[in-house]
Amino acid sequence: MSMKRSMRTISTIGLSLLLAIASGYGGACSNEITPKTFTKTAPEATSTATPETTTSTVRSVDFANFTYHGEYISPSEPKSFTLSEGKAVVGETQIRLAYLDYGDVTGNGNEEAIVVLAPLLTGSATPLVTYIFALKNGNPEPLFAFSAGDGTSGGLRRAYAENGRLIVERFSRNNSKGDCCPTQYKRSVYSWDGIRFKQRGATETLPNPSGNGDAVMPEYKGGEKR
Amino acid sequence: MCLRQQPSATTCVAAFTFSVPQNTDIISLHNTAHSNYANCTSILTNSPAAKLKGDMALHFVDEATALSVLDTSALEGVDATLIAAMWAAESSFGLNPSNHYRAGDGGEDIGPMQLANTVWNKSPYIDNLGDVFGTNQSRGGTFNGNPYANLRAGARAINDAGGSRANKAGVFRAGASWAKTKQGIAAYNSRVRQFNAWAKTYDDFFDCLRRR
Repeated sequence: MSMKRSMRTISTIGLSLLLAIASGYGGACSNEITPKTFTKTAPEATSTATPETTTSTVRSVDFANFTYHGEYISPSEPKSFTLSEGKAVVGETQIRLAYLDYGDVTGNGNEEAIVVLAPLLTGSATPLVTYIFALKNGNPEPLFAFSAGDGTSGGLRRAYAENGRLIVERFSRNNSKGDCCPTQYKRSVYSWDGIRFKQRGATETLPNPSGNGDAVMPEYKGGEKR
Repeated sequence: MCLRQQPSATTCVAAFTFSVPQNTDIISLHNTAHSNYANCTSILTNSPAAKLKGDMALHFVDEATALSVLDTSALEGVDATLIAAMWAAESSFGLNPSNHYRAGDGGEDIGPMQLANTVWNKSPYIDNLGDVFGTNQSRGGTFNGNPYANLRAGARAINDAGGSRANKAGVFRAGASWAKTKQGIAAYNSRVRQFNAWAKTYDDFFDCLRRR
């Protein structure tokens, strides 16, 4: 890993990272993404892989061996954590790369990566944390991150690109048959304005065809057999 | 440490608030609860919690569900309100709900109590209970095990945590290490809020059912 690359800060490159921590559990806003802009100063979100040549697309970034911002998962330290072969143990918490998708969510004609991590809770809740990375000058840069609950507690159904916009689908608590079995999900559309994602139009509520609370995204299958 | 799977009623006296009844006690309990059921349902329908929205709304308890909760409570020595609240929150008193994929460890949450087959499929939680998880443990599958065995294993899992009833509810949802992640804290707090919103109503309801 290039030291220059690892030490590069988001503030240095003038990028404000948009954060949306929607807790996903309880509260009136649990199914909404409430963005907040902040500036990072710590060296984070760096690839641990050593590229032989300049990375040309975000697909060539090895997100299974990658350092992520810790603040979306850890209430205190550490400020960052590194996945190795798609897994990490941070304190007492296992974290796993669960889903990985690509698409143009900013409308600039280039693909971004939608990386979904699963911090393991030993209860029935199975929350997910989504990071979106763009490639700038050959390096992955975080644009956006949000935490989702589980099942009817605002659980992530899908995050994907469509027509240059980011679509986020989260399970709804309305008319549910318990946390296991959401009957509806909410679909919101966001566009990138160069600094942040802004919601476009109203959030739609749609029937959940699966009847369960599982995410429907491309699963990361590396690291171990399933 | 008290082993909940022990059949002896006296083994866990220190940990439980009452002893495990004999079969005649359960029959008597059923008869009493059946006689009282119709008069007790107004506790549910008139509860302020019944008017709450979304996942905070109180789940109605039909008679078969109520008797299952009372049975499980008596057999496992776990508070009936806790069992009812967790069953309601997890699967809305479903008997054959869908599995839910656990992206964190590749397992599935299974059955009425949505028990992780990667966490609870071991002694003492499943001892002498029969088919707690069923054979259909694949992604998106529908539970085909014994719902009552799943309930009893769930009751044992609930009692795995110490502290107050609300804490047991929170830990059942978020795990023992819930405070180590923001997601765990959120999940814990959410389940505690649910439990606290429902507890008095379910307490009154099950007390009413047991009243002789």
